[in-house]
Parts: sequence; structure tokens; C-alpha cells
Amino acid sequence: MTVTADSSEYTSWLAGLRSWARRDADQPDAWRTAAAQGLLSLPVPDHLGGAGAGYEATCRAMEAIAEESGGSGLPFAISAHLWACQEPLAAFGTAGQHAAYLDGMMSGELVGAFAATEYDAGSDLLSLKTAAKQTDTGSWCLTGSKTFVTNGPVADLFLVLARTAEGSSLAALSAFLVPRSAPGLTIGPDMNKSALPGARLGTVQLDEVVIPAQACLGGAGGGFAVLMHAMRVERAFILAPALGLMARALRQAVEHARTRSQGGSLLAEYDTIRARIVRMHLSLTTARETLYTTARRADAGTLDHPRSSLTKLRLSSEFGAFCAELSDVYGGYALLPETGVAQLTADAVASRYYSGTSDMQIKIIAEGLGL
Amino acid sequence: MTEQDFVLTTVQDAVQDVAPGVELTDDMPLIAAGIIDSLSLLKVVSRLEHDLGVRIRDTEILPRNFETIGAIRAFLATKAR
Repeated sequence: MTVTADSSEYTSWLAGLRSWARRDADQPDAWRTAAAQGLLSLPVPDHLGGAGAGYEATCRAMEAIAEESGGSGLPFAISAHLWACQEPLAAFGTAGQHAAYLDGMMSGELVGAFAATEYDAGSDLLSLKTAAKQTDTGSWCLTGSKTFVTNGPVADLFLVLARTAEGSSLAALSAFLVPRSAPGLTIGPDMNKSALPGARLGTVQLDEVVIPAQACLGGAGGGFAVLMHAMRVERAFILAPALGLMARALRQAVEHARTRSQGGSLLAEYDTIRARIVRMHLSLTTARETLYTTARRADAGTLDHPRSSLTKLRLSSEFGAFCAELSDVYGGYALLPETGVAQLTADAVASRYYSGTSDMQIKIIAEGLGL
Repeated sequence: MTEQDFVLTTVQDAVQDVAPGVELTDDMPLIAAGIIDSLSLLKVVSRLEHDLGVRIRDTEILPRNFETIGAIRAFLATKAR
């Protein structure tokens, strides 16, 4: 399938995906069945065996899954796999690396994870400590520990960022493809968290993990370029599922306002409630227009880092504003799990921190303005 | 301003926060010496793309292409305009 987001072929496919998401997205084998729909190969260029459908088409699919299923964890986990692992593999990988991993990632056989963050190096990844030393035979020996690794507990392939030279230098970073089965690689227990239920988060310990020379992605010293590529794409698109979650919550809030009475009148008759729901609609519309303008730029090959950061900042801000209004529409009911308001609010809070904090996005946007 | 001067000026502007007052020369190591940090590199890339109308791919943001002013000029010379 080589299609674009505006083709009738894609529209039919997306309808099928929506049907799958309503029925099967909460099943234990959802990752595999999502892949069977062709979801994971969607953004990969056709010359690499993907659908070549592009970023806009993939974002529409991620939005649809979240909207139909109401779950944030699965689309977030898939996004981490797609944007932070599969995407840099497709962009930087050699023919041998593509042959070893790309088909498996697209088919759902291999789950990918990006292991970059360290306990002492959050958004400042240039100061990370995990070290990779090249042996006399050319193979690499990795030692260090990673945290906040999305998909970590279930991943089959880790894209590990490590230091191959001393000092906080751009040339000191390199990226490595490390299979879960590599001796010396230990997966920590699931990190308990309040947001994104179902998306697994964990730690990864590397104790003298030896991998062959050809496991280096982008070449020695190319880690910064790999990181920048992954972040540019991930920041732009990781919040696509939030659009679907907001659309679903907006529909439910309208229904709630039209059916619940307070003081003898329906909530929908109160100007304050109407205004809140209108502001939710405004947030969703703004977020959606920002995301898809960005996605079309990316498909045209003109997405730069400031725009990517602006997209994430805009979407996470609108997500937070949306949830604040949503909470006020429900009042005390917002605290009941069945309304989903508290969960959505936790997801919105998390969106300010993953893939670079809002402060980091502001810094990148400011640099882009020449400040 | 010639393109030669433009590259020098662009890099000089971008590194002001990290290395204020440093007079750059063609063969001064920018990355190894920490004169260019991650954000200033992105700023250089963005400015070159915008003002020279070139496309610089992520896969090209490699130390060897940005290590010195001379390397940046040589890299730009390979780009189609």
C-alpha cells in the first residue's frame, strides 16, 4: 500500500482501523493485531518495504486509535516504537541493519524502545554517562544504565545512546542497536506511574554488553544526529493520540451536559458550562490544526526543530487547558474513575515532560527565533 | 557579503552564548572544543537552511560536516542549490 492521507484507499483503510480499535485495542495481543492492520509500516518509505503513506496519514491513524479505544497507553507505546526507534533505524540504518530489524519492527514481531534518558541526565542528553568502548576486534562494549525507557519491559530491540568519547561534545555520542537477548543487558521492573496506563515504562542496565561493530547506527560520533532526528519527529507527532482522546472526551462532555440536570435545568443550559465546552472545542481545533500543518510540512520535507518543538508545546498546552475545562464541566464527578477525567488530566500532565520538557521546547523555539 | 563570510558570521552569531568573544578561524575545532553546543548547532543548521536555501538532512548533521568553519563550507559546497 503506497497511499496518502487524502486518498480514498487510505480512507477505507482508516475505517477498518477504527473498527479494529473499537473492538480489539484493549486485547492483550493488540500490538500484533495493530501491526497486522499495517499500522506500523505506514510511515516507512516504500523502498524500505513500508507503505510510504507519510506522517499525516500515520498521525490520523494514531488519532483514530485513541479516539475509538479511549486508551492512551497503546497509542503512546506504538508512537515511541514508531518515532524514536523505527524512524531513526529507517533513516540511518545500513542495508544490513534494515534487513536485521526493520521488517520485524513493521510486522510487530519486534517491539522497539529508545534508551536515552539517564538518572542524572534528563533533557540534557549530551551529559549522559553510558559508555561504549570499541575493542581490538571492532566490536563495542556498553556499560551504563537507562531510565524512563518507554516499552522497556517488553522491547525486543533497544536503540541505546552512549558516549564513545570523553567530554560533553556533540561528537561524543553514538547510537547502538542492542537486542534484548544481548548478554549483560538487564531489564528492570515496570516503573509504576499514574499516566498512560498500558504503556510499559522501565529501566535498562547494561553491564559490559558486547555487540558487533555493525550494531552502531549512524556511525561512531553520529549519535547526536540520530538523537536529533528521533526527537524532531517524535516531538512533532507523539501527541497525535491526544487529539483522539480529546475528541472522545468532548463528545462525552456534550452528552453529559445535555443529560444531567442541576437546579432544575440541564447543564447545557448554563452559560458557564457552554463556555467551558466551547473552549474545549477551541483547544482541540487549535491543537489539530497545528499538528496536521506540521505533518504536511514533514511530508514535504520541511519540518525543522523549532516547528517540531512548537507543535509539542502547542499540543501539550491545549491538552492541559482542555482537561482543566473538562474537569469543571464534571465538577465533583471528575474525581470518579468512570468519567475518565482524572486519567486524561494525568496524561496531559505527562505530556509536558516526555520527549523533552515544555521548558526545553521553549528553549529550542527561542533559539529558532534568533534569541 | 560573500558566502564565505556568511558562513563565518552565521557560526559566530550562533556561538555567542557558549563562547562569547571568541574570534573564529577557518580551522578552529568547533565541536571538539565545545564552542558549538547542541542548540547552537541547530541554530547554525536552521540559519544556513533559511538564508542559503539549502536542505540539510538530520543524517548530515555529523561532526565531520560541522567540525570547523572550513568543514561547513566544504559541506555546503556539496549541496545542490
